[in-house]
Amino acid sequence: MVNIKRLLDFFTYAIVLLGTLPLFPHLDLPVRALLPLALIAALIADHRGRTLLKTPAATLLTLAFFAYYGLTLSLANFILPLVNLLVLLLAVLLLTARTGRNTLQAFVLSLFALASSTLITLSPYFLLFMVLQILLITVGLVLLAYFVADPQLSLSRQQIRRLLSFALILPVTSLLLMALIFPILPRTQRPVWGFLNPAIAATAGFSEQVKPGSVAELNAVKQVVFRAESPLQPQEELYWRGIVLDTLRGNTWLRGDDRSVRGSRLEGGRPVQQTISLEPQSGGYLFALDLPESLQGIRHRSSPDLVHYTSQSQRQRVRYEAVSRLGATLQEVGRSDLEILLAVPPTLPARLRAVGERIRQQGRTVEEKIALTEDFFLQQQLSYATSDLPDSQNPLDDFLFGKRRGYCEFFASSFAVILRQAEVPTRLVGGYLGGDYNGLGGYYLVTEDMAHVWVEARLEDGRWTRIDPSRLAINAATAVRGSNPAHLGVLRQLADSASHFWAHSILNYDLLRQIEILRNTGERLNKPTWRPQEIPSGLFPLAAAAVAIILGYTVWHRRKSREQRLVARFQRLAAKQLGLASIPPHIGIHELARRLKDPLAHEFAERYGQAIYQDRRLSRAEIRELNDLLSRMRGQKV
Amino acid sequence: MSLTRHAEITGIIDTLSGNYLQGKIRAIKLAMITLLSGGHLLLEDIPGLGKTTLALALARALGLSFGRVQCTSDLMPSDITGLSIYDRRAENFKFIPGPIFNNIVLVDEINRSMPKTQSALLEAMEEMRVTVEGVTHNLPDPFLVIATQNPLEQVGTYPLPESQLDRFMVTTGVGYPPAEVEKAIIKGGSLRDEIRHIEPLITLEDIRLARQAVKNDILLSDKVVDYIFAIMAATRAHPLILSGISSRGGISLAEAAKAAAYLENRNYVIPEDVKMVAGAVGAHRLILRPENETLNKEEVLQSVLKSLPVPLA
Repeated sequence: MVNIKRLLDFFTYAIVLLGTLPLFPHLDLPVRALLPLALIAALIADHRGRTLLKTPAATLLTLAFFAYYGLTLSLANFILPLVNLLVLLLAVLLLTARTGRNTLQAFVLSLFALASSTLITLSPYFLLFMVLQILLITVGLVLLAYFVADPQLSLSRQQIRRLLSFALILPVTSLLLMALIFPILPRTQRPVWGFLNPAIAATAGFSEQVKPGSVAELNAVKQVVFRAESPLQPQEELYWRGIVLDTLRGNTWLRGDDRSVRGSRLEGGRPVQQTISLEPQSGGYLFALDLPESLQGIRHRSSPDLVHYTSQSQRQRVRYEAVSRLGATLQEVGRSDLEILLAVPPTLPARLRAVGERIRQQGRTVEEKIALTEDFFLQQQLSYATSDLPDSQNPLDDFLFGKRRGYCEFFASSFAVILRQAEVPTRLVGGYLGGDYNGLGGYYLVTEDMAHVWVEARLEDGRWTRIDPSRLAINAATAVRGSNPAHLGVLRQLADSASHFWAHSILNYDLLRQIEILRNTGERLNKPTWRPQEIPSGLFPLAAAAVAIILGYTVWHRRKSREQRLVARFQRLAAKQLGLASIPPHIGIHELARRLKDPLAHEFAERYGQAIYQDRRLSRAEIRELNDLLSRMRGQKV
Repeated sequence: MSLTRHAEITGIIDTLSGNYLQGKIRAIKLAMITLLSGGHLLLEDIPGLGKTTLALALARALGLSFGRVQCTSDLMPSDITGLSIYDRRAENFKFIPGPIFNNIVLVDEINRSMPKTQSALLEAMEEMRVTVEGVTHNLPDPFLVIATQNPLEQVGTYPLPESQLDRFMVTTGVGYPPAEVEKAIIKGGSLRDEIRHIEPLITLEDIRLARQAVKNDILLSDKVVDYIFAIMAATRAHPLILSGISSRGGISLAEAAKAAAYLENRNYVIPEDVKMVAGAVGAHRLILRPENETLNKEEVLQSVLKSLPVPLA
């Protein structure tokens, strides 16, 4: 016997957990601690059959929480206090007496909590949580109805099983219905709160200007920037080009309004095709492996320094194809504006100026000057670091001669400044370095912490060459991304594949495009263009698991012998004709045939029994004949 | 294809139940099953329902000799087995066989005789022979004892102990006949005279062959054996029952089921055969717990049968 209260409690905990789990990372620390404590306390209290909080105390506590979070509420900071409050209310509810009303409230609050998680984040797990939540709450409501009618109710296991299977019909049907109407539902590509409340905190990572020394510490975030489907490339080639900064104003590198380069062409190199899915972001720069030759599948503008830019709405994820040439040389055509490319601020520190001057005099060619600069960097024993950075008053001087630590912006910026003083036309290139290759999905995952800046210098013959000064750091081998590929665990790869698929197929889903597809369905059916590689390979393990489950179930079902299935069929038929739910196991087939008073049933019993009760198995022919007999039996009655 | 002498045996059942003993087909069938499987029959019912008529009709129709013992508390074993009398002319003792030396012996109201007499009778039933004054006499074959007892009678009876009840293969009631039949009986009077004139429908040889067929030609499959064993095991573990069906009970169950299958002209036993005879063969072997003694043993056994799944595949 199963007590209905116990079962309902179990459902309540599961529902509360499901509702709060997606919110958990976004909660305040005290709330994060309180919720599990409340859960454990409630579990123990349930076990001992006690109530921890009386209603007045719970009301007081609720009011206190309301007051506290009400004070922190503002138009800019609106959703997080609300979410915290929601979770706190749930925690309080868990500790109160488990009445029907409180349980219902817990259900509703959990549903709200889950729904509110979409305001903050849109992860593929939401779908999973939502499906589970719908299943649990629907069944939970049925149980609750029983519980309210009789709190002491106990049901046998069989009754419980039947109750649950009946209760499941509703949510399963609605889920199927949801799947059906999915194609016409509009959806958002970003967390809803993101629309209403654009991010206040600036993300450290790629930016449209480089200003070393503006921050004292760099906190890299692991936020996905884009995923690039491409074959595996050598790790040291993974320079994702985004923006070219050619103008130095004071301490800040910018992309000037006047183009310093008039025209260019690419020579040599190995073409590499990539399909890039760019997450929504504020820039408009389209990334691709260095050097990106052309882009397709998106409206964009390109400039001679191979910067591709789109003015399309950045609220959406975009997806485009890029062709890059790895190891190619960018040959300048026409004259470039040397005034921009050689400009240095007038107030450079003396030590820096001296180094530039020395290199200008010592080096005869551009290559020699570059080599000298590199030697200088190596001599200085610089280390790559993101904390304890040079002070903001004189960042480059402090970087080269003082603290001797900094991140890519310091390396690139000071390297470029020295080269410019040595009369070498130089510019900075911003983008990303490295990428975690997801073998399952066959794509590179590039996150914000991989943002990188490097230097391009123009040789005398007009070729631009890439120099990455960060690699001159003494700890470059370990600190600079790109030299040490991160090996993602299979689980993370799988999770990321799923989220790639989620973004690509579900969030990015476009009604107009879907109508287009529907319109083209006829043509598509006539000439199938399905290519296996179009399916993210992360789906394969999932599909394999599903197939395995179905197969397993079939095998389990097939465990029954042919005879057993035959008898079962006969019994079902007899039950139908006798108006019974099922035939009790103590009634044999001959007795059944006698009750049916059907000559066909008699014949079946006779022929079946002849084999079975003489310890003989039925032959295939006999089974077929007996099945025919049953079909005739059914036919004549209907 | 028909089993050996099947038509003749079923002919008797049809004739008896159709012409003489209407509404007693179950009792007749059980009696025939008992005869075919070589057991003995205990009819438990109130007087006047045709127990004797049944035994008599059966004996006449089968063409078998018939003996009858009316038990009283002073009945001596020799009244059943017979005794030696001095023959003056031949100047020696001559054995006069008692009523037990018949193919069918009706022992009326067996529980009125003393245990000593009962046990002498039961010994004869088991051994198929009697020893009188040191000489062993074989009983005729077939040999069927039809004992009757009145379940309601209490005073001056010596109830058969369970160990002796176990010797009877089948225990059954006769039951009241259906209303129509009973009215006809009231109108027409007793059938005794008519029964005395039933012509034998079958020879001794036929009976012997039929018994052989039951013994040798009917297949008892492993599934049905399992089923019989399950019934035995269930009675032994049943909360209402002190002691369940014995191994001898199990053998009897199997034998009776075979005879039942034979009557259905089937050369194999189906679980329904077992269920059909189970009450008659098994119920009287159960010993209920003292606190449950008022329960009907047959009903207890039927509840056991209902709790057991029939082997289907």
